[in-house]
Amino acid sequence: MKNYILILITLFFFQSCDNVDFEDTVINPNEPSQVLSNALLAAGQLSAVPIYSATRPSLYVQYVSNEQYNDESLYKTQRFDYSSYYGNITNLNKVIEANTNESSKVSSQAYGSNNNQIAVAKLMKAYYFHFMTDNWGMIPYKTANDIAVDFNKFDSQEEIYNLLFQEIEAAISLIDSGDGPKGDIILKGDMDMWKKFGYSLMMNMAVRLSKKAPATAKTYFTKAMTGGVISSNSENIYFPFLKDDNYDNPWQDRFQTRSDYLLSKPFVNSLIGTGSNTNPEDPRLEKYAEKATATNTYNGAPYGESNSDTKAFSFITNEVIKNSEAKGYIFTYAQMLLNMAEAAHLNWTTADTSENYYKKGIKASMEQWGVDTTAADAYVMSRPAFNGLKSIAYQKWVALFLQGYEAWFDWRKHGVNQVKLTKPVAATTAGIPNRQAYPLSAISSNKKNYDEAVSLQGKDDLDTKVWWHKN
Amino acid sequence: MIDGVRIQGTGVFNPVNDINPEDIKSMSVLKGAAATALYGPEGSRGVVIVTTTSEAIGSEKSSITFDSAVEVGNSNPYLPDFQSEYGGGYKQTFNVFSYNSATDPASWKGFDNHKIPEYYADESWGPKLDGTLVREWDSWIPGNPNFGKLTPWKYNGGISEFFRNAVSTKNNINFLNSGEKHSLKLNYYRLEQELTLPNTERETNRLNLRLNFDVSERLNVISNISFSNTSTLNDPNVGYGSLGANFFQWWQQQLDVKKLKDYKQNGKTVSWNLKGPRDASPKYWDSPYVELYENLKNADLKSFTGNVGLSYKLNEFLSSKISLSKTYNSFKSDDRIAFELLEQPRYRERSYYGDRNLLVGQLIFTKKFNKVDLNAITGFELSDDTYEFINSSSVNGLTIPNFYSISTSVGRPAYNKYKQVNKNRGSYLTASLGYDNWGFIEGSFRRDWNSFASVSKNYVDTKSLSLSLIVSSFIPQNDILTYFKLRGGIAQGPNFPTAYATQETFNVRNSFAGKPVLDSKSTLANPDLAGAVRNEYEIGAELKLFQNKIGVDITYFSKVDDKLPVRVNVDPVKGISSVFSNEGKQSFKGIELGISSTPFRNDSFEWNTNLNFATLDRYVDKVSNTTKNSDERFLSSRWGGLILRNEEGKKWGAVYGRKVKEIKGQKVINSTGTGYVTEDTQFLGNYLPDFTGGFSNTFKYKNFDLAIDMDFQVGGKYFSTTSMFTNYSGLGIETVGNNDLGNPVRNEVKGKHPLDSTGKEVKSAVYAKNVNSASGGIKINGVNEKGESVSYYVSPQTWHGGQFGNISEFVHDASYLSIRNINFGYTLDKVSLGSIGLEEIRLSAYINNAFLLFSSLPHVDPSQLEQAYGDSSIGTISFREGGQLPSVRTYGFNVRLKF
Repeated sequence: MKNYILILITLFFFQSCDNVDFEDTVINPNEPSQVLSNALLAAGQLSAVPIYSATRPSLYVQYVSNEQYNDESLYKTQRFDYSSYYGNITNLNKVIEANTNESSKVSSQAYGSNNNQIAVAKLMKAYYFHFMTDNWGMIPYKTANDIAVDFNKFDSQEEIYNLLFQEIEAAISLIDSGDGPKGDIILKGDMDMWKKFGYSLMMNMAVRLSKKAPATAKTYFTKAMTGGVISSNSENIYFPFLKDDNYDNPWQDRFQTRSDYLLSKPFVNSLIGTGSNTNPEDPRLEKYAEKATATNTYNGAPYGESNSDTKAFSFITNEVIKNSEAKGYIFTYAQMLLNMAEAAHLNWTTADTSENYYKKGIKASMEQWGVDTTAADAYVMSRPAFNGLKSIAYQKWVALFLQGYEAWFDWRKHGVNQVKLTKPVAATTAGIPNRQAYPLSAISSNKKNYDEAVSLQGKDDLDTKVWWHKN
Repeated sequence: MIDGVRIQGTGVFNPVNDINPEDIKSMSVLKGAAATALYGPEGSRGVVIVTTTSEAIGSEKSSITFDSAVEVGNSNPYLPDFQSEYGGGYKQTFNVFSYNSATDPASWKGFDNHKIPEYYADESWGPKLDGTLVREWDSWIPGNPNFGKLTPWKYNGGISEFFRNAVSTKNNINFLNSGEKHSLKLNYYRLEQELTLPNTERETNRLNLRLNFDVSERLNVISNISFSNTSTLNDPNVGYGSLGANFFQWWQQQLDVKKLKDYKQNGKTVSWNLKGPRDASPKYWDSPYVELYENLKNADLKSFTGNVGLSYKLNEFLSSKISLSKTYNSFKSDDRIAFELLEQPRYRERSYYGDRNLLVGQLIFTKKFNKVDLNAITGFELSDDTYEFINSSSVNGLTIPNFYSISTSVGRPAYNKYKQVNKNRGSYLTASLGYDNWGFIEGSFRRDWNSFASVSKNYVDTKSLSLSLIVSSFIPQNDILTYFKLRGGIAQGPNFPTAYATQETFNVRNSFAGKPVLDSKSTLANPDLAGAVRNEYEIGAELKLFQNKIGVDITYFSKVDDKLPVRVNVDPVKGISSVFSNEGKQSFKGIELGISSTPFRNDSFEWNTNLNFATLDRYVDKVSNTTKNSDERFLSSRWGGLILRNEEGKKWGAVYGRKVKEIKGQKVINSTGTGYVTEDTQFLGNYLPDFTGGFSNTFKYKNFDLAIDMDFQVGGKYFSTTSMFTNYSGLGIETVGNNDLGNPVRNEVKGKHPLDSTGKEVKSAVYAKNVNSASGGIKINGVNEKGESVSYYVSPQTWHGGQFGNISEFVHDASYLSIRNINFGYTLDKVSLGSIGLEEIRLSAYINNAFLLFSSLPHVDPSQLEQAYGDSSIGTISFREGGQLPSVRTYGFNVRLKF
């Protein structure tokens, strides 16, 4: 009997051992574990797609109106999520790590020189953070993507701007003569263009601070001018959408089976100007829009209304909504010239007059959209006398068509009176949005820092102004 | 465990669904020590043991039992209450058709000035259904008999016309045979089922063979093999965007459903939702029949389960067992969006298989010395689990008209494959001692190794100890306490991490023009993620009173999950949304009580009753070292954000969302009277019920029997999207009727209007104190931001529209009481049948889902809520209704013949 018990116990211990080697079973067969800096950079660039193709800011600045379902045009959604942008910074951080760590530095050189990969990742990060702070105001920046920190503090926009300026300079200074990054799908590894990307971003940021921090603004504007920004339409920086449905122009997807967006009346009427609804004053309208099918005229839909009689209104040009490969503009020549016009107006540069930059800006915008030079010249000639910032702000609003966020940020900086837009009566905000509110995750996982940010910046809604917008 | 075969299943892959309830002999639940010692990680949440009818070896018996049932299901009892006074539209006036001689056909001249409703609207705030002659949607469809005609604007019976009486048949046959050395069973089950939606059907066939025979005195062989096949046409999907959402949330109340059946006219797909008179193509919604007759969905599930077991008696004390089992499930489905509809045609295929192989060996020692019974087992268990799915879909349309395949995709087809292999090794030793049939002690030790755990430590040790005492052995025999047993135990259950949580990998995205794209994962891998132990403590008592007339079984349990490997959400500004961690702790406590009794019994009448009652409290003791709370999101912030929150020190299951602000219990109304003032992310109640239970009664009178089963729940919460939109869109009964002024609420509000921030009059509301006696509007009482009482009459369209995203208004109490099933039967046994060759005839009639006696939303049965998917760790949970189809009440009739 005792023997039997012993046998049982022995058998049990015979079966028991420490770790069992499960060999290959432990390996995830579904996903690679290699850190490929080219593939991560590509993901890092792809996630910016919402920034330059979003509908919401294009509604805020009234380029477009809603069709039947008008919630979006009435600013019904207040909170917007930033998690995908932070998630994407992780991709870019990994690119930088892969090119910095001794263990992976050499193998990463297969995808471009270490410095160039780091520079591009840093410039993309700066681009994201700049967008994020202009959109939300204070955001976690210094401790962004830091897992070790228990609760990530929101940094002031002023500090973020200053750090971003330095970050851009540092990134540009890294650029060397080695190969550009292989994973770069925006500029295909052209490092000269990345320099221009950096300086164009810097110039945009500087001009944004023209009212709030003119001294800093002037310094960085001058650096950007010296460094060199986009200098022709052929250098326009855009996202190259593909025919491939996974990576095509989002506007095209939106109109595949639906028609939720119409050109807006305030925008269309501004462009018709002194002309007529078949022969608008601004020839760009013929490039931006289709004629309404019911009347064969340019007709914008009232903003903020439910517009169900779709045939009566103009749509965005088929070149955009029926074209998978329509460009997603990031920075354009026209944008830079109009920045320079503003700088010249503020006497930051004397390279040319404000009015000349302004006129060049208009012509560049016309050229970008395929307006012939005679029509462009005629338009410029016929415009009322140049009126400084008011003229510049208006032309920027027209030129930045569908670069929604950029147009909205710029419009906010100039203030309601430069390009007069009014909020729809049914909207419950005080005016056209000045920012977007934080996602719920900030309240639920970072309440103390969220509360602090709100107390410093103002109520967490669409009306509060961000630092550079405040007087 | 079904007849000794271990089955693991969830949702559609659950072979338990295939068991014919008529064929179940017994069902029991193993928990705690009993489950985990023998079943390891799989048993840590309990084991259900199902035994189906069979005969024992040794008795010479042969029988054939045949059951046949016909059922009719109907959804109408569970449809929400809709209004039938106003039709589709956003405003109460009709548009007017104005003839344009330049563009319209000359024959349309007579249409000038015809009244036209707002076809494009998918809400019912339109004109009163008063018989006004209007152009219905089909009057613009060339070739339709109604073309060009004016018809009265009236109610046509609503959407109940769409649902049908669904007829199903169930047949089951059992062949049983046993003898001195064998027992055999062959079972065949067939189900042909219709759902209450048109053109839906399901067919199940299942064959099961069981063998049990003694090869020799020492060697016994058992085998149990089954194969089943279920194919389904048009399994209706649930959630927002489904047919349920269409009917209950976005609809025009005057529509005649029967007319929509003819959805192809004049060679084109037509729908009520016209773009307009001059373009009669559908705008946003196709006819609901399209979903069932064009957008076909096929599903096919095949499952095989089988095992072979040998047991060999080594000698008087020692025996050994070995068994090998396999379960293989394969699921294939396809769905499509047909050609010529609103959306691009699309074809999708999904396939899944799960393959599980299990080898179990045991050496069993049994001996009795005087008053002591000793039983000891040592065993091992090797399981290999593989599952794989492949989802593929056409992209950007299909090239060959009316032909559906992946290979005719316009764009590069989407392809997604996932495979996971898990291996578990277990080894255990258990021993039990019984003394004189009144005292029992049992202990076990077990070690499990699992391939999903960190390679640095991939095993978990678990132990258990339990005691039971039959107290009644020491009490003199009496008529009151017949039996009294006390039990107590400590058990541990092993738990291992989810798949591939220990290594960093990257999400593969589609290549960009031939270039690779990899994304970092949103959940941080944890190379040290280890398995852990769930500790369970349990005490209980079992009593039999008054000569077994009353039986009571009561258990108190407490479980602690410490350091279990789980996913914890973190602030996304960290660049990740969650981490895998071994740091959390949760505890569970509850009471389970069962009372069975036979209040009355004599020769011809018997009444048995059974009451079950259970409570469960679950606490979050710790989330992780760095986080005090972890949120599971079910709705985005645009919808007000529906969150289930794990918060340190609080009860698990806290529901958070946007809440109407209250001052001293009064709801705060905004300054224009058009809506409530709300606050984000507020506590709205707890998902977990206070208690749940069931109450069943069976009555037998001579050859008649009647069974009534009830179940209930008190407390708990769920969110209903339907309740939010059904009023938002003017469909709900609450959007009509008269206000306290005696005027229809939908009439214009008249009186003094509040002013908005820019000083403009808000036309949709008036101050109650300045209301015109002829005013419409619903009366809203509350307080302003200062806490002063305010009252308004508000247009219902504005008011209900403004409730969108006010989660607190649509989180409902999940308490309910339901008479689940009623079964009435008549049985004739061999004695009464005499010598006609039949052993038994039984006729029975039943109703399933019979009556929902109480529920906070009368049409929603909280026990039948669809599963909702959260954004990460807890998987599926049933507390959000997104637009699900109504429950079904079934009437059935069953005949049983036993030969």
